[in-house]
Amino acid sequence: MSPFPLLKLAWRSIWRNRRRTLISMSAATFGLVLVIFYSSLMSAMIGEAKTQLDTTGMGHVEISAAGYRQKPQASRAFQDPAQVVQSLSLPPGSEAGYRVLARALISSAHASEGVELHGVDWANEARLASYVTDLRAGALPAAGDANGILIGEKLAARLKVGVGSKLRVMASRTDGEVGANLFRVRGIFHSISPAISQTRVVVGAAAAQELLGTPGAAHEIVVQIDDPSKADALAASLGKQLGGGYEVFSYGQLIPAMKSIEALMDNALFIAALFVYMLVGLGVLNTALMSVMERTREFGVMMAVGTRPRRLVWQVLAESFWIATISATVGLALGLAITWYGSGHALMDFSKKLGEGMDLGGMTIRSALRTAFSISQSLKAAAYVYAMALLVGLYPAWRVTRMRPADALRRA
Amino acid sequence: MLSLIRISWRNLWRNARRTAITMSALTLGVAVIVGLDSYREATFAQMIRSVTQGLVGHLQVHGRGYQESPELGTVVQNPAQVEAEISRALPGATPERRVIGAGLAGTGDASTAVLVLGIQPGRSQEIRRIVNGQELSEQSPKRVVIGRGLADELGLKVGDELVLVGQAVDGSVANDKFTIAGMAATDSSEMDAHGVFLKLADAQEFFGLGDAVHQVVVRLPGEEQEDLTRPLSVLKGALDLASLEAMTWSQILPELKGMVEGKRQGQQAVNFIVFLIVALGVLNTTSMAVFERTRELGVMASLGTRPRRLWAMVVTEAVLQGLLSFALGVGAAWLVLHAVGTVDLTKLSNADMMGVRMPDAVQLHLQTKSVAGAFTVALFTVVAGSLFPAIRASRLKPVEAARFV
Amino acid sequence: MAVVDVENVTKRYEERGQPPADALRGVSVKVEKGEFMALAGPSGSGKTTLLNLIGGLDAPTGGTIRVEGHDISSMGRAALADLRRDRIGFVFQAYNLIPVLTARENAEYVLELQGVPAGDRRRRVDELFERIGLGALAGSRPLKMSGGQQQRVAVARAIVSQPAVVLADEPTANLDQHTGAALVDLMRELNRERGITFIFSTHDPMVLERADRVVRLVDGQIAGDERKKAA
Repeated sequence: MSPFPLLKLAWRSIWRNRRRTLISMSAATFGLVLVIFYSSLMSAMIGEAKTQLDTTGMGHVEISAAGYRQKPQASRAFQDPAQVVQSLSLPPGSEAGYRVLARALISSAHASEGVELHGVDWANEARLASYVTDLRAGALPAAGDANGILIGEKLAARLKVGVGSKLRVMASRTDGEVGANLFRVRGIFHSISPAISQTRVVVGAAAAQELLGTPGAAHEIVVQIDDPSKADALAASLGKQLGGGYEVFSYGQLIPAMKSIEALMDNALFIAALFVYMLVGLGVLNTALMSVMERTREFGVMMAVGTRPRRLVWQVLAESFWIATISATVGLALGLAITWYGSGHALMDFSKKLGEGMDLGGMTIRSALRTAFSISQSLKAAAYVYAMALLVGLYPAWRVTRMRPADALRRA
Repeated sequence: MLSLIRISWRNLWRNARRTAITMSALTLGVAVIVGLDSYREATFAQMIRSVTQGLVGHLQVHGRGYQESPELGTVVQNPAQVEAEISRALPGATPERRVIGAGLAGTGDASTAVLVLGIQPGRSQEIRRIVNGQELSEQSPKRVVIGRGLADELGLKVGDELVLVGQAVDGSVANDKFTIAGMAATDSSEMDAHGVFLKLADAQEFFGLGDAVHQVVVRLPGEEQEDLTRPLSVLKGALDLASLEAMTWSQILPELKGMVEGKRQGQQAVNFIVFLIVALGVLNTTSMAVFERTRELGVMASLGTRPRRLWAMVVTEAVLQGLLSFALGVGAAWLVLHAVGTVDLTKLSNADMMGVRMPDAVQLHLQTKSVAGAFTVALFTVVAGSLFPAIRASRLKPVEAARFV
Repeated sequence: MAVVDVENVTKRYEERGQPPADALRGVSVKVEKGEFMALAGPSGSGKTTLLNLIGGLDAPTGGTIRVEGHDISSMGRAALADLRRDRIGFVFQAYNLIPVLTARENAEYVLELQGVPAGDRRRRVDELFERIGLGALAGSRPLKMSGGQQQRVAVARAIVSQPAVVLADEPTANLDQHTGAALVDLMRELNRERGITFIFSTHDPMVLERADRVVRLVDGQIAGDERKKAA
């Protein structure tokens, strides 16, 4: 029994009821496209939050003086930050820079707000934090600017200030006194993160050191790398290199919620996909079964003229093979096309409702959702649909083996 | 009508296996959608509850322009009168006064920027939980409760002294010492890390506000009130809007509201496609059923059954199938939700979502909203799936249908 | 006024890929109230076509058909359905009972379409079933009944609503001689008792014997119209 005429025969059989076959194939195709689309949306959401840490200015690896994370005080600083950054052995393509950090009170003539103050090297910061260069008004302060400050749009609105306005910044100094300096707004930046837009202010490193009384010292070094999955290994090796005076964390340790959220999304995706596969399976099962049952007489005749039941089983399986192959192929092609398009255009855009970004447990997720184009992920989904469609073909095939020629003939 | 249902019902079971498979798909669809939707709605309800019972309340009254730009000097001048107006307009509502300002809080050797909240301890039970020490009391003056994160950061204990520095409403430097009465856990990690709670009178004195407050928080009887358009308009009608503004929690936290709506929308899109898949299944089985019964339908037409009735018979059959699957699906969802009971989210509990803490655990139960939603969608699915075959059934020419006998 | 008035009716079937076939070529016949008339003729002579046209199941290519004076060729689908429901009964060669309904429910079906109240329906059907000897089978489903029993139910269904005319296409073709004769006798009795007009097609001489009037069709034309003296 050569498979070729069998497949040819099966091919003709499935088109005998063209509409029914098309309907059940399109249900399977829709299901597959849905799973591919949904999973690529999820992986894009998490993937973007993971790889593009510069939207929040965070590092895949962050280094600070030992104990700073526990008690972030001005005095827990390390000297010669530029030197330390230089000395780090980093993979190619990495970005690294240091920051002077403080929790400060900022006041305009109208209001006061608590903020996160970052004292930075401007040239370096522009590579680490994208909002620094996304100015909606004013300009980046010059390198030696001793009292220039950048603030976010939301903060500017709350303080009712614009470019050129004076702001008083107060923070706790290393000597226990409260340091207070006047700054002038040089620029107002835009950030997709509502939290950053409202609570982050950026000044030159020297100005921050002056305010806090920590000349030449910094609190944090951030390192951004191309491949986020290497962050843990890098954190470990840098920790070894730097020794006991420092603490080194990877982003996974800094945002523990990220892993939980990732796991939660994976679970949700798994459940949703499983459920879609089951629906697809039931749909294909029903049509395959109908097509076998309505041909009872035909099968009876074939058996009566001496066809072995096994051959009929193979024919039914061959029909499932065609339905599975066509649905999986078409679904895969459509899914790839949609996710490819969606990786360049936001297909689901919630920014009208949510603003541009959502702050979620320390991450910022863009509200205009794109999809991640992944051939391997899509192939995996297609393989499941394919397997499901083939699997459910077994039942109608088994029904065929149970038919008796006489019954089959009579019951028609 | 009765016989229409009777005929449809009996027809449904003529090919019991086929019906069972189609119904499994429908049931599965309803169960998963009701289950997931209930889970999500329960989470939303819990988040909204923590907002409305917590810091934000259902409604708030501010000095005009405060929401846009929260200046220390933008105040509600005579809160007692405003409270009286609120109680008159919204019987059963409980108002709570609040002063909000920023400052630096510290000990001798370290300090940090904090959010200072002047509260009425008796009226704002739910915004924080004392985890260590005591609640503020009217008798002992100059006491504070601080967020537990802040206590950790500054290394403070109950009984320690806290120096608070800020800017008073007249621009002068405000400066005072307080004794730490207790530490609190809140629903917001921002408040945990940077919150300092004072008695209202202490806060008013500190900022030089006299009797004025920044917010009058209004809590309405009944907990999960998402849509507050009516109470808001009632409230607005009662207030002097030249000097005051009134808004709902969703206007104060538009992103949270937007997230809830966005997620619902996203879910609707998924529901749609899922039911499209199921509807294609219904379409296929109903088409087969109509095809198999061509002769019978022809006979009915010969006996004088109007085309509309034939149409209705096919649709009724699908609707019965839909109703049955709906009931089974809701039952299955109920079982699963009750078997699971609560979902533990403590791993996520440090994750603020749009400024609101994710709940530690979500108590699962069937949400009316989700059940109603699934009902509509299930009905839509079976009607959509059976419409074409039903039209075909009603268009059959009796003579052709009855001919091949 | 004639119950059925067929005037110069033609019917041409045109199907794609096949030469057109003229099933009826100018047939005129009048049937008066209370007649018990047989349509005779070989297969393909147009008997079924003529019955279908009279019953409003199909539209003639030319000519007019009146049932109780109403021209049915000008009626819409719903109006035709109502006409069949109220004025015409059908008995088919293959019984064609609705399989999901019991014998009684089958007979009640038309009454229900007419909106007859349930108690009334039941009384009328039970009475009729007693009359034609089906009382014991009222609750059975068609598939559990013999051919003769099923056809009796079909006759009951056709006459229970007191139609102007019952059209029966080869009602005895699937029955054995004895059962067939009994069925025609039953129809004949009902025709006399209730004054219901019957038109049935057949090529069974035993059935023809029992008709008052025999109209013969050959090749879609009337080849003979004989009336017997009332027996």
